Amino acid sequence: MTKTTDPVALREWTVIGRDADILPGTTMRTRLLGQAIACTRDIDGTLHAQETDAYDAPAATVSVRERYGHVWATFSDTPRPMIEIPEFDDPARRRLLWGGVMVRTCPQRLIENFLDMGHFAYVHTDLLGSEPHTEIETYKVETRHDVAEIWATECRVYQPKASKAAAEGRDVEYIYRTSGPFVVVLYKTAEQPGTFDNMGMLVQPMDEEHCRVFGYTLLLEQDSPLVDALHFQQTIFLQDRLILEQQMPRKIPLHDTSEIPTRADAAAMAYRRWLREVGMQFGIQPKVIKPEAVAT
Amino acid sequence: MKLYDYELSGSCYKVRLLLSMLGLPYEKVAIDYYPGREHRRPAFLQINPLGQLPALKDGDLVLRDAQAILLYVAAQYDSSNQWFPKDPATQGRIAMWLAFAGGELMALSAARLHEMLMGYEHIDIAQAQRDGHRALQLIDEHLAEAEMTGQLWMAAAHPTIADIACFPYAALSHDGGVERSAYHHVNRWLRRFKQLPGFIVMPGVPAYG
Repeated sequence: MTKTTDPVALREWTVIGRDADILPGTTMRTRLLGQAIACTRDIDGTLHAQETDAYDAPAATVSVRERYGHVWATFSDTPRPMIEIPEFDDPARRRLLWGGVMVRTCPQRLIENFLDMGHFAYVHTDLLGSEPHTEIETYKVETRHDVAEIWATECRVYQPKASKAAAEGRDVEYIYRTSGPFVVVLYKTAEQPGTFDNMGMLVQPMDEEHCRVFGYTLLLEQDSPLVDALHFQQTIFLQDRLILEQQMPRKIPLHDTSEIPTRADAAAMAYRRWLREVGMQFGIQPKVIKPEAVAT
Repeated sequence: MKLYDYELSGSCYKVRLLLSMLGLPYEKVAIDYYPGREHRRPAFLQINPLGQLPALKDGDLVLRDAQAILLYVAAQYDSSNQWFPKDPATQGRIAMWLAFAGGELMALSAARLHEMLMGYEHIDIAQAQRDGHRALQLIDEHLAEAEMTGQLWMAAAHPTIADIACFPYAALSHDGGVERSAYHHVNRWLRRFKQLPGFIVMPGVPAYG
């Protein structure tokens, strides 16, 4: 695939790696929205990137910046502002970066899966959910069009092992926040009552059917080793990967009305509605126009 | 016993499987293999100079290589002698499949690393997937022939450490983009394996299917 022409995708800042993935004096080659790019870090630490073609001839410059422990890139001269996550500046939190994992699916299926609490008991059995605790209570969803964010609040679920540090099951409250089509952040009740851990999934759409997924956790809890928390997070994500790669078609059928949502899908439904409203095309299964519907 | 472990590693999973099937208690030491590459740092190189997982510490004994660890744990702790029987012919067959599990079959591990994580771009993915198919085909033909004599397992009439050594990367082939549906004998064997007492899952290897 060549570079997408979808303006909704092109205006985004998207993650292409962790800061540590591009060491001084090295170049990382990757793909973003169908376009091959090369990102170089000079010896003095400065980053710059450009599009490359099959002959590796230098082409247009790509804007890059470092934030939240990751390198972000955009093809746009007037990109949509990057999500603000003030918890990154909180010195009480320990920062854990998950690293990038490749998944053969479109970015929107990844975001939807992250928003879906209904699969916890079945895919993350005995970790994030367990039978018979499969009930998802009604929660609130709000779309903030001015900042392209969707907030799902008051989401509650019983979790047998909500985190690496959890000794027993408990009811957990979630707040989901999507920012644009490729970023979703989660606030989740921490071990200390009344406080929230923060974690996020940052999707690098390589092309419409291949993504690299990055993520972070900002943990308030201080006792458990970070590497245990990392293994926990990677286990959860790899359980999802297996399911996601079996979903066909890989592009999301946004215009297909054959799927019947339940109230547990309210956040995903709001995300789909937003994708339709902004007219997103990248990663979307094209609408099938039935021949009989075409006027003759 | 202390297992230096990475949750997503199929090789570490081999050892976790045997320890679980034998019901042996052990301590897991979580190593930040990815993205931290902790297995290449000096502290871990003291444990395994090859910088590979898993490694096992039992008293003063330190072992590297999943196959070596399977051999030791079975010989030392399996009083039933099922997993590594005393019969020399069976031991020979087991050693043959252990070498295969640490050799040819690791093409599926290479394909998986390339298709899943960062830092493995140097792997020739087409070659790794071809070699992975060849390894699966070899197991498939072996199991087809064994089944004709009523043998349902890799090296004996019952499961041995040869099955444990070959199970993880065969079961994880999808992660590396190696489609397994044509290998019927392999798929039936994987299903049989999942029914064994003490079987545990890992991400990418669900309890079903």
